[in-house]
Amino acid sequence: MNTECSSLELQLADYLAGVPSAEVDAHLDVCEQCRASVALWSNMAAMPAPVAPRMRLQLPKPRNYWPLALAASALLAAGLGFYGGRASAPANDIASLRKEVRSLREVVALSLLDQQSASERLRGIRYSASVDASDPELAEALSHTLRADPSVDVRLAAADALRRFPQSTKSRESMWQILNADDSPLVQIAVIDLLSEDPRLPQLLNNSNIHPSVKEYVQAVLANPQKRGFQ
Amino acid sequence: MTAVREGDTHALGTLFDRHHAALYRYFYRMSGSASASEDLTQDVFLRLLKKGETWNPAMKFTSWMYRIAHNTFIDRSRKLKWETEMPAQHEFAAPSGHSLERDEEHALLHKALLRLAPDKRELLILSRFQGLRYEQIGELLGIETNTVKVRVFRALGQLREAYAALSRDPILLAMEAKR
Ligand SMILES: [Zn+2]
Repeated sequence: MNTECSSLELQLADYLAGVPSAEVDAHLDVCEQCRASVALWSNMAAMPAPVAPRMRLQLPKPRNYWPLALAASALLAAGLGFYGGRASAPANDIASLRKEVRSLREVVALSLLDQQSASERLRGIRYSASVDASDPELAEALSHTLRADPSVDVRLAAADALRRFPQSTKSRESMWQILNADDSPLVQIAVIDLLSEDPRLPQLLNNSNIHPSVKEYVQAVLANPQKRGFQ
Repeated sequence: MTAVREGDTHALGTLFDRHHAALYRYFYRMSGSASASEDLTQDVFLRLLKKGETWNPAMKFTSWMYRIAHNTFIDRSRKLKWETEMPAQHEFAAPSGHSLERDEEHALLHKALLRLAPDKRELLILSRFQGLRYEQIGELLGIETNTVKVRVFRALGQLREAYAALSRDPILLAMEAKR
């Protein structure tokens, strides 16, 4: 590899990833080695993919089930007072085991929220219902979805899912920002429902981002705080 | 209480359905061994079960999953030296409009990949076959994106050399035979 090749390594790597570069094109005209490397890279794309055999998730029993089984039986025993005076030590183990169980569900919900297709993200939101509502990471992810998802359906579902999460001051602030930014009346109403106890609600009547029909809704909520949602 | 267990297995099943084929392909290309790849793929899901709490959602889920796959592969490599012991088998999808010449070329390329040091091979597999962006590879390996770029291009150069050496092999052999 000559010095020109080394000085172009970053651009050459970007070029492989599809970033066009006149500089790289000019280099490839004169450098046989780099040209051969780029050709090999294209050739790799045509390589057939290994075929995965039919596989099923195998959790060897009982060895790999033991943490869950232990958590289950320990929780049951603790609930029935089996451990008596010794309850504190196992309780710590139980707490950490429960955390593992919760975390895996969280992993699934969050990984689904990170998908390309709106229907997958909706699935992630539905899945989030099986996760402990005290989970701040998940509340944050749902709140991010509500703030930034391009699909109105997904944003509405996220707002709905957030109902069961306790609202922190921070999350309330984030809701207010959404009301100033989201231009879907449906999403605005869903967010107002999440904020219905907030004393600043009347300010929305002067907010130019709020759709006129939504302002009527705000007035109705202010007149009768019990009456929420479409009725 | 069985609900806890079933719910959890179900959660893992969701991840398995979504990602096992990609992980299998990753391991197959890393090891060249079909049976090892199946084992390793199953292993990753057990580790996901055990290490769910170590995921920081600031990291893309797939980056984290490949980090676990990477560690699984390294741990297993320490126990088994399959790079030399396990021959490459050709359990690949038949490409459309394939010719014998093309097949041989690809088989040779596969062999050349297996000749590279595992870290070089992995960079090419992740960037070329698993569809990971350089940023993601940096994230999962804990290195700078620019370092990834430089290393990928250098690994590609090494692959080109290994491939060229292998392509020359049959000619050299034929010449030897004539003497
Ligand atoms: Zn060059």
